[in-house]
Amino acid sequence: MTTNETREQRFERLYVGHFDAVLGFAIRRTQRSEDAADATAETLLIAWRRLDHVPEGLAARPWLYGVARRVLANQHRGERRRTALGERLRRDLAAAWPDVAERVVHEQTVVGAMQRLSARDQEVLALHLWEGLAPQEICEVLGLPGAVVRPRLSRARARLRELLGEEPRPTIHPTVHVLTREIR
Amino acid sequence: MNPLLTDDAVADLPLHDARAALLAEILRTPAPAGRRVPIAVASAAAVAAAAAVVGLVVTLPGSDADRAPDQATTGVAASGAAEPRPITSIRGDLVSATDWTVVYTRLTVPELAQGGSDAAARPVAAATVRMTSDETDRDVVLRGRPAESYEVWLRRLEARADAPATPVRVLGRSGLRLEFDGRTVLVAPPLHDRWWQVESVDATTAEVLALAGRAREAS
Repeated sequence: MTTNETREQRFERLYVGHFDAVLGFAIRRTQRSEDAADATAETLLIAWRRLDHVPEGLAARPWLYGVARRVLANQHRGERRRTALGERLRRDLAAAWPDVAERVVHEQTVVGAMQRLSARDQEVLALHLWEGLAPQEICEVLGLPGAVVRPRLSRARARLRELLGEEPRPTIHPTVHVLTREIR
Repeated sequence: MNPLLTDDAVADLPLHDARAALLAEILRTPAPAGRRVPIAVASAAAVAAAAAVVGLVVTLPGSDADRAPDQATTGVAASGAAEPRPITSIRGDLVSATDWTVVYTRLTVPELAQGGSDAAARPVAAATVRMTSDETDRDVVLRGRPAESYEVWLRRLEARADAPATPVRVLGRSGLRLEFDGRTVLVAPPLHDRWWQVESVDATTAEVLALAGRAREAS
């Protein structure tokens, strides 16, 4: 927290800097707009409640992804806790959903190959390829030690490489863009 | 799933008003203060003299007949049934279940004391239960801590939790469920010389509840 920054100001800074990333993380892992909106609202509400525990700077991103991952996991297992928040987001995202579908760059080869991997391999690869996270950041998201994550990522990449016949390339992800936005 | 929709594309979606509305809503939500959930804390006097071995019997997801009678309180689908039937000890047999198979249960070496106040609450027993399905694996960790550390430790957990604790069935007795950043921690109050903390880094709330609801501590 910067000098004289109130709790509200710090959260607003976090929110502005990471909203799109959290929403994007949720959209990339859900089929329905309302699920993505709910997961985003709940994740950011948790961040507000637990603001003292949210790391500063870019380290906040893996922390938020870790929360979003658990929120989504509970959603997928039918434990959806629809928050009272975010009605406007639910509505507007539903309206924009067809537009979302049009913007997707369908690299079906890669997506199809990933879907042939185990769920664990898919998850670690998605964090690496879709979110552009380094192994240490993946550890933060999954709450697992590097000794577990690094070999898992290595194996997953090797399996995907076997399926594709080439090295999978990370999806271009706007980390620099986000950093710029945070500094502003 | 829209895997290749980048955050830049997300930023371009017409969600400006929704973004602002959600921020305003969240900021109107009261920030949490330290709280104490009124619960009946089991007496630490229920402590039996030091039992050297972890007597944890695990009954696992299986037929309806295996379900604990009060499991409905955990939020997991359940119907009334008999007392949980021990299927295996924690020492490691394979157990089949409807959706999940327990690959192993492993007693782990309790973490070393870190000194300070934590030393009094260091685990005296621990176990990892690995469950696997067709798609993935889950590890659920159970840590037994000294009974006398329960009150202090519980207050600490409650202070960090996202919301007040809710009552659930844990290891065959009334316990508590707490949520941290979407993660679930279950607490079983003292019995014999210890109380138990049950959690997982990758299992969902339902899976942790299912396991904890079917496991019990042997007397």
